[in-house]
Amino acid sequence: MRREKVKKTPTVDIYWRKLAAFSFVFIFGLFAWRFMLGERFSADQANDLSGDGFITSSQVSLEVKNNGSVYKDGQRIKAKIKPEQDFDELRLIVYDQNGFYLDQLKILLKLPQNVADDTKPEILAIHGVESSRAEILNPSTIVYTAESVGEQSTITVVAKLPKGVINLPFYDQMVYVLSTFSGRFWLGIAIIIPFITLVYLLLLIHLQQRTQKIPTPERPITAPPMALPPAVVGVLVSQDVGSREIASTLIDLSLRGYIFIIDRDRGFAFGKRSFSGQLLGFEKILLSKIFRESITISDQEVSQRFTNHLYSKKMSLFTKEVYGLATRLGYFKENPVRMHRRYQYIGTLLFVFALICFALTFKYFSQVPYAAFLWVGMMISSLVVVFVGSRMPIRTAVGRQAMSNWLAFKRYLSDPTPLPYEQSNYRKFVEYLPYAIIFHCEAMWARRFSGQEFTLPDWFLTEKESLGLNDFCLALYPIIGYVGQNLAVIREPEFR
Amino acid sequence: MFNRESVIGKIVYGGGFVFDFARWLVIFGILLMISHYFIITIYIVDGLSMDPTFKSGEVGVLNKAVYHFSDPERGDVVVVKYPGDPDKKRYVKRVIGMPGEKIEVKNNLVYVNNKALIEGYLPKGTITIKEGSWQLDSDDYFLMGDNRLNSNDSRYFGPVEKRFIIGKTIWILAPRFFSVVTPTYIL
Repeated sequence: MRREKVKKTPTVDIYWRKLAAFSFVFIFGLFAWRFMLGERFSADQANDLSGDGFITSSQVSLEVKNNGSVYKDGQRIKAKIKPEQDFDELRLIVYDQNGFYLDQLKILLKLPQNVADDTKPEILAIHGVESSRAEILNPSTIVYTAESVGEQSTITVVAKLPKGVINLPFYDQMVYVLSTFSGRFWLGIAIIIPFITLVYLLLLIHLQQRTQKIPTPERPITAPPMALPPAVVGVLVSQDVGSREIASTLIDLSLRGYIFIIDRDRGFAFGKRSFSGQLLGFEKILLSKIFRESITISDQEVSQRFTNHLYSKKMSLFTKEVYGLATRLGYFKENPVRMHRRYQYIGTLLFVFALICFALTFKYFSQVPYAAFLWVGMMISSLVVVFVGSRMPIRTAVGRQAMSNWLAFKRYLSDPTPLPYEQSNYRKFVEYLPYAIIFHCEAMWARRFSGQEFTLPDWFLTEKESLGLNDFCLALYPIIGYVGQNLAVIREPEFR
Repeated sequence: MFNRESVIGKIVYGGGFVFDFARWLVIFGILLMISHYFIITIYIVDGLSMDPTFKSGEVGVLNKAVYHFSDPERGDVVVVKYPGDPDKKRYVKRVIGMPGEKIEVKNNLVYVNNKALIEGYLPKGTITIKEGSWQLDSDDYFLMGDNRLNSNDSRYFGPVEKRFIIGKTIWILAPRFFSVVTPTYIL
């Protein structure tokens, strides 16, 4: 029958996810640019002396107490003594663009002990100060003098006090001690914390595995130990539903005659037959995710089904159903979804806490900016908790025994010895292929049939002639892998 | 009527979108902050003191990591916390004097350990004012703007300790684009 070409009306299509992604990158790129440009670093120019205001003089009395508090004309001010490696430092702006001219500004600094001789005083006077100096008035007093102070002048006094004069509060001392650690130290912490978390979790998993030992199969089993859907076998083995569980389900459905796969020169298509047979809940969900009303669905349409939504409720339900079935069969102490979710919550809480601390470090601990790496380390640890913690074994005795049996079957599938060319073995390749995919040994399984004649299964339609086993594998695996992978990633985060 | 399934569905799918992009946003934000505070950032030159090398309003790229592994060199254009107000003020200046050196400004020239410093990046006929002499400590740097007549720098506020130096300017991005090269001096 000749197919008539239908001329399609050209349309402008928008891929919403891509549009959103590009918008996201653009908007946040813009924000990043603005954030970083938020800082204007002054190429500060010198101001001329201008004596337009009235001429007068002023005196400021400062006093530093033993505990590091600073008083100005008898009143406590916010200034703090900051500890440095060789001295404790007072750095205080006493005149900042006050808008009037001073003939002379004198600042008297009284120290808590007679240590003026051991104190290094400095005066930083800019923007229109004619001269400035710092002198020792008596053993406990330093006097700073600035002459002809302009309206736009800024004057800062500095006193580097010898260590031991000031008894700094514990908090300040602690911050100082932390500030002495180098960036490399904090970077090391950021690496060590996730590493320790990883080792701790792996140790826990190892201890659990020791107490929940899986009996080692004595010899390979040449047939599946029980009639279980491959996806459920996958959950039993890995405690996780992933792309392989989806891919193996698709092949299993093909084997059972519900769907067929069409291999084309460019792309592929899925076709459906009657769904009237006995389908499990999760199989129905998977089929409803792939197919709509038409009998076949092309690769472009399948791709569109992946991108219709960011998350697929159906694929989440598929995962939930597979976990549920494995749990109902008594293989797990609790539903693996609950266990995964528990570690997701712990990890997320830890991550949010570390993120908040990370931001606060820059705002409130500017003396110790490298401490931010500590929180980066904690954020990485939280991801380790999510990804590794959910591997904690929770199989029951029934589950462990079942897994042992399936591992015996895996030994058969991955045995390097070629199978003899017999009629009984002939159908086994496609029959056991879903399980081989689950056990990550599909290539080894195919190798067992090398040299044998191969007849294409009736559910794999292709225009290519005389397709051998290798060609079949090369055509099938990418299709199944692609579909499985894409269906796996569109599940809601809690089901991944 | 309130349809719980529908509302939850909308929140999950709407929220899913937010969640997925929020995840990238968080990663992006963290990397941005790490870069901004520790590795590399951009800033705007504000003022004339580095004219004609840098014009006011130009966007510079600041390498913040460089001085963790090495010390500033003579000729580097650095961003420094103004020692008189280290929490708020940041200046862009050029490193002229190195730790331990004696710096003198006299006769329109800068002298380093009594030898005249030839500064090829300054326009011909540049006059360097505010004569004086400074002996630098083991951790002190002497910083000056290229606009010698109109720069508030170490001539006014004295030498600057290394702890106040934030990073080195490596590029000017806009509106001009060029790499900021540290000049070579013959002393």
